Amino acid sequence: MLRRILGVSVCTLFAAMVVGVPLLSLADVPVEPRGNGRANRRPAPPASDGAVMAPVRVNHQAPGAAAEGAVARIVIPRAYLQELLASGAVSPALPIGSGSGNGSGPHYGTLVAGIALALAIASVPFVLRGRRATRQLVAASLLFVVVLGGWTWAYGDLIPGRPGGPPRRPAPPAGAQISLEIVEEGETVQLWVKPQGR
Amino acid sequence: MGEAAGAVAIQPADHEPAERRGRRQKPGTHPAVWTTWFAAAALLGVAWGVACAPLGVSVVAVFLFAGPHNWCEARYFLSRLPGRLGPLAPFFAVGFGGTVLLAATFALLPLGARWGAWSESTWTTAIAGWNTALILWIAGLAEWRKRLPPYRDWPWVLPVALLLIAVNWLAPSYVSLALVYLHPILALVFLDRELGRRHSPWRTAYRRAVVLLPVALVGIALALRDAPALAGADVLTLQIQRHAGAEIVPWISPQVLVAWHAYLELLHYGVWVLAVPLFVVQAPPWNVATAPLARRSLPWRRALVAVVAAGALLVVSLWGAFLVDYPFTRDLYFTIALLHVLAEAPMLLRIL
Repeated sequence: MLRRILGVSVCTLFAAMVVGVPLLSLADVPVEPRGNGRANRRPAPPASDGAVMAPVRVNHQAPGAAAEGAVARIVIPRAYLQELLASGAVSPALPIGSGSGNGSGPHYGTLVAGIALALAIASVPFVLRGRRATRQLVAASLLFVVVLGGWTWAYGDLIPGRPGGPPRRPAPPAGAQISLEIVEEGETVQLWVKPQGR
Repeated sequence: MGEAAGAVAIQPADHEPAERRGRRQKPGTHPAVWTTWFAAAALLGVAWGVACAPLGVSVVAVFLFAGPHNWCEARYFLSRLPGRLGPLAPFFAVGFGGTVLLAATFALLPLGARWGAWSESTWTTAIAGWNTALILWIAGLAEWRKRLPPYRDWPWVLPVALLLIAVNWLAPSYVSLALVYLHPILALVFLDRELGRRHSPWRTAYRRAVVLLPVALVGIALALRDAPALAGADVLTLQIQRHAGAEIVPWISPQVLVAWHAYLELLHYGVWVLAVPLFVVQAPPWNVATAPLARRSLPWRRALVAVVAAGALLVVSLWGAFLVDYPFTRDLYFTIALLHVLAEAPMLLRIL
């Protein structure tokens, strides 16, 4: 009887994990740097083949009257742009999405992997069913689930808005625009970003 | 009377497992003792040799043993196939049918990529798809094997297969590389099972020696940790580095990867060319008289002789092709050799 109760409990727990974890996780929750080693957990998207790295002076000030209504303003000196074009570092028309990838799985690989992983977890109770050492296995599985669940709760980016957790993703401003200016003077690219909360 | 008594006294000892008999011998004279030392010395000595010249060992080992080890392995498979397959026929049909199908598909992938001008994403998807088919095929065979006598209790087959498929779709190239490194280790499992099946006194020595394998691998890594990159940017050097996974795991020195791969390949060749014919088949590869299939009928025996003769011809042809164009032959060999890699799956599952 006890074995049956434990078996049903484990099945329910695994089923809850399979169904519940994907429901709780939100893929687009922005990650705020919190604590040691937690910064930049989500790296920037890979640059396309034609992209170049350029030094930028960042001004955390409102873009100014010249860029009324824009969330950011990028000022590029004409001489610097011509230098880049002349060096061949960038082509006049950059292909969008022409990057060859980073060698990992295909872009929908995570989808297939997620389904396979969910099925693997869901099939674990069938392994435990009818085993002689069910009690030990169930105890070990429960411990594993509790430890993993606790770790996920503590360090995962689940449930936005919880105390100390990541903020909810702010709604994008309607009709957000970036002001791009080519100016005659200057040598450095400047980025003007409106500080958050102002 | 005395003779008769002596004969009666000797007879049970002959029928005793060799391992139990060995325990009565004087300490230090048991074959397991000196064999352990010999096997350990051989394992570490080969590791030292490989660490001294990884690239050279890799080239010479493949040249010398690639063909003969396939020949010996085929002879072993013939010795393990029952004379009449009976209820095992569907299992082996799916096993060997899948082997041919998967190997053919794998060989066609690069051709498809060239003709269809596949993008990197398409190529990665194709590799992930092929790996998935391989995992499902092995898992299917394992599930089938469970239900064949002697019955096995392997409830973990499905979860492990699904977990591997998940890992495969996240990083297909790592699963392909794992296949490259796991295949030589399978030979060690074959030998262990066969020694166990025969209650061989060598099994204890063998197991003790195999424990040293991780030590040898770590030793190779330590010896080559500061080694410079492999000299030369010729096709062969690049080919060997790529096969060992230098592009997939760039954080490990290519020298270490090439040495690891060459070392495991050497052990694999040693098992199939030396250990299996000596301790398992106990007959030279050209002698098929003891194979169960050969005892079935005269035509079967002639067919087996023809197969072994054709194998010998292929071995000699492979040596000739290596002498003419080593890099091309090596590339072609490792593509076709997938057949014997895959054929090991149903054979191993059968003897487990």
